Amino acid sequence: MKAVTWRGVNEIGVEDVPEPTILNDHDVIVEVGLSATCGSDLHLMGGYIPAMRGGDVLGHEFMGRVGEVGPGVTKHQVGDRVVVVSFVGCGKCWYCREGLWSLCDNGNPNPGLTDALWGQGIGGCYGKFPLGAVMNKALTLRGAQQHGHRYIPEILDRMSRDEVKTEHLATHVMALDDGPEGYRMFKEKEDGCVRAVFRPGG
Amino acid sequence: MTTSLGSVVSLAARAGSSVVRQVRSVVDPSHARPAGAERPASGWLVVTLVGEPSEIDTDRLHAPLAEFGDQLEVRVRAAPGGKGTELGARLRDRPSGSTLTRLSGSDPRADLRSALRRAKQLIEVGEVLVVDPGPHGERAPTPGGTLLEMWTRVAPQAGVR
Ligand SMILES: [Zn+2]
Ligand SMILES: [Zn+2]
Repeated sequence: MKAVTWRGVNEIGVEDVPEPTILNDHDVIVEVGLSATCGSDLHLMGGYIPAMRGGDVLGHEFMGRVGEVGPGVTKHQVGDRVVVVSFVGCGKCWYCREGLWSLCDNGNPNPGLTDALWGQGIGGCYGKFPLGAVMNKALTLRGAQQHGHRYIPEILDRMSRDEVKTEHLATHVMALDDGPEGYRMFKEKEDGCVRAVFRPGG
Repeated sequence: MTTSLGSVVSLAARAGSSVVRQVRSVVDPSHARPAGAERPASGWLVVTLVGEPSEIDTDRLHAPLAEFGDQLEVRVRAAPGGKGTELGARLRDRPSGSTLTRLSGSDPRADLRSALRRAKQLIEVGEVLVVDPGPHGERAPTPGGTLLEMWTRVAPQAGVR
């Protein structure tokens, strides 16, 4: 599949990358319909997150259609339209049960360092695009994150009743091939760019 | 997600183990004095689990912990504040290792630390999270990336305690 990737400091590319596969029983693979730029991408782009590697896939705020489900998935089936929150939430730990998804105890594959920094392994984040099971290598900060999962149902409900409008945020909707240009415009806030949104389907 | 980058960097800069050690010695002054005189057992490593203490059968531990056999001592008790159950484990005849070896996952308890984390995931979720391999483009070597690869190899075993 095609993906927007980080090639180096302020250098964005479009590459062919391998298809994602189901790694966990509870994984789903989402065929991305739209993917938005996010302010945190600017940290990644500018090289402020030291662990970025050339070839890392960008984009962690996206929506689309479920294309494949793991054997443990009960809530979704192929064809469902979904909005994805970038945090990995196991749904079972104390934090997830309390709706504190971004504090999930079980979503961090590299807990050792964050144990040392913050006293506990913090939540992990889908750092890549589309939803493979790859994360932002545990570089998210516990406590500074929005529990997005909690609010999505309400926001979608209000959007369906026309009480919340979001069109004005997606100022620049582009093809995925225009990823480098979109990220540049987003960074420079050129042409009133609030969010560049990419449409992998063209 | 929006991270406060400044605080990440400053925290990282201040992350000297001395800070961690100070905090820890206030919380648990016993860590420096493991029980047993001649061949001390390692200190307790503990994870907090959802559910009641009665739900943990210490005679039928999950595979990652069961592998340690008689070497392992296990402790189960209610977590404070109604936050579930504390599952503690320590190895007999095994010292705790230095801060440096703990942080780099090369101390005598490194395997136990990893096993306890996997056991928690099995008990709570039913599977251990796998994240690699994930799709990526052509790899260009970067200093940070090399460090990350090294870290990813040791991280499951590494920890403060
Ligand atoms: Zn969780
Ligand atoms: Zn974001």
